[in-house]
Amino acid sequence: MSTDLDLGGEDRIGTGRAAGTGQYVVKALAHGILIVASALAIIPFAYALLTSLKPEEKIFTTMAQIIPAEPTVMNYVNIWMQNPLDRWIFNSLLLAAGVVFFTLLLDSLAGFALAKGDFKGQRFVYLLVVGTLIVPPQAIVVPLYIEMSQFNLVNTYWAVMFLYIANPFGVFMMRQFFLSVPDSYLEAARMDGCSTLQIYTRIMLPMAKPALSSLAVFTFTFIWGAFLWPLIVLSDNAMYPLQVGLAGLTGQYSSQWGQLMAAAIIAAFPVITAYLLAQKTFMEGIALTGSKG
Amino acid sequence: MSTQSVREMSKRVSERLADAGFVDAQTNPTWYLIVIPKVLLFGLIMIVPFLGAFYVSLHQWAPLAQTHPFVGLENYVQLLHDKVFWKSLQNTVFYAGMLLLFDVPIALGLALLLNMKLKGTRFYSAAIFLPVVTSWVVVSLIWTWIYSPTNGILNVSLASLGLPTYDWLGNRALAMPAVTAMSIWKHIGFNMVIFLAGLGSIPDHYYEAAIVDGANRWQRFRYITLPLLKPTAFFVIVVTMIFSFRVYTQVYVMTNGGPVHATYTLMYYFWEQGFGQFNYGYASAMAVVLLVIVFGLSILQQRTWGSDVEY
Repeated sequence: MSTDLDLGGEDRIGTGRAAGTGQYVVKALAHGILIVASALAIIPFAYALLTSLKPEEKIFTTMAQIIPAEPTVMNYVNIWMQNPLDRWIFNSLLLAAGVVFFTLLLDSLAGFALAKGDFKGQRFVYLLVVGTLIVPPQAIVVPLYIEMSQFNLVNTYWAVMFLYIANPFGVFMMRQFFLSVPDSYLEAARMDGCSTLQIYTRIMLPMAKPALSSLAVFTFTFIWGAFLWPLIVLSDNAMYPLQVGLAGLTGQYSSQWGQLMAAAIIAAFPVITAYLLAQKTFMEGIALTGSKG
Repeated sequence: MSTQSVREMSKRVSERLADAGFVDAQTNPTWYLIVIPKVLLFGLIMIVPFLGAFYVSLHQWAPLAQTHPFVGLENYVQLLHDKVFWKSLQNTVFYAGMLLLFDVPIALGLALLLNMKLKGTRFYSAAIFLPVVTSWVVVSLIWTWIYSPTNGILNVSLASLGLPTYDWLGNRALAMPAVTAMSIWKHIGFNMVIFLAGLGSIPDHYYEAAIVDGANRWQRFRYITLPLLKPTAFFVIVVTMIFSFRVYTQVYVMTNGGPVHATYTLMYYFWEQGFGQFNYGYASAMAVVLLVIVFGLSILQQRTWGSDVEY
């Protein structure tokens, strides 16, 4: 993407003067705005965390006191004991693992075929990918639900996963990646007697590791946050992924904010941890949606 | 599966397809074998339901009914006269408009600042991006608490400053703006990162050449950054609009559409009709309206953004 020839950023933005105090003023102003923006982004999470650590009976009496005087984990214990949180987390992880696995496998194969293949109907398949990219999944959930009930798949993990595995985005992304691999690699491998499948497993897959990890992270975040389709296709409380279970708590815990915030923190924890560990991969995943190709 | 059996299987598949006249017998059969699973999924999970949406919308369709009588365009005519539908559409358009007005320009501004590569840029971008990775359900829960009428931090802060407080999510005039403001907060980092990628893809030598030619900062911004960022900006605008028409989860969690339909959106009303009232036909008519809007926007995007994409 960017060739990191450092021009000293402010040369690129075009504000302020080249040298002297003007530059410091511009920089200080930029820092000021970015600090405020960062604080606005973080404060709600900090507030939720602090609320979750307050004893439930003291949340309303100690409003003015943001930081809990005697932090406690009772809210976490209570919400966990009273709800099948472990089951919901298990469901979410299972769904995410399934979707990520099939997405990586099918999309890398299809992306490879679309980028490097030479077969009749290739253009048609590509148009199918680009065409379905536009279809908002929300618009097709009624007929999809009818279809799933015809196949007797309602209230199964498969029904949830199918919609996300069918997502065309990964094919598009993998195709873009494989297009960037020079044809000479394939030709050399063919000379050495590799079959198409061997080229895929021995040459393409190892090279695609960065793209695959971006796609994995992107897909995982997406599934972890999935809401509407699981809400529709699952009917059994024990089958719910965490997000759907969590949304159902709002009614029964409408005034127990400490416990609700504890549940929110629990649900946010895996993704935020993963994000802090692999920030670059996350952002690349998003940036890829905007990269022209 | 051994390589041998895979080869045999792919050979058989390709022979079948060749017999049926679909493919050229000369092509390496493996290519078909490796795209077929995904193509089948597209067909079954995307295309069939896509056509199904149009079909169901022309029928009176209750899930448990034995028959689904054909009613033509009746569902669509009913939509035209449905005040709640118009309110939902109006709210959705309001939501999209507010995101365009605030989300996109602020995201661009933040991306420009981050592109200055100041010290601490990594921290700033990580912080601003944090709400993007967190799920809609989680941030909706947190903001419901922030907006809480008597004890939420927003009203507590306002009261301590001697300012008036409001029941943000319970007030008919304020509920939709409150939900929208939270969504802007959640979504800004997403657009910011796309802008940042767009800025990063502008080759540095353009700036170097401009500096040699004696262009000042403003001129470089005006004549290099701005025009070269145009496609990215257009992409961001259209994608933001497309996503706006899907707004649903935050409404479900924060307000349940209330008070009195004040926060109904297209998708929320769709869900309520389809899976609350089990009125599949009517809900599908709404889905088709959504599809038409999104396709319209996508064509707009393809025209400008996709004009030099090779197919």
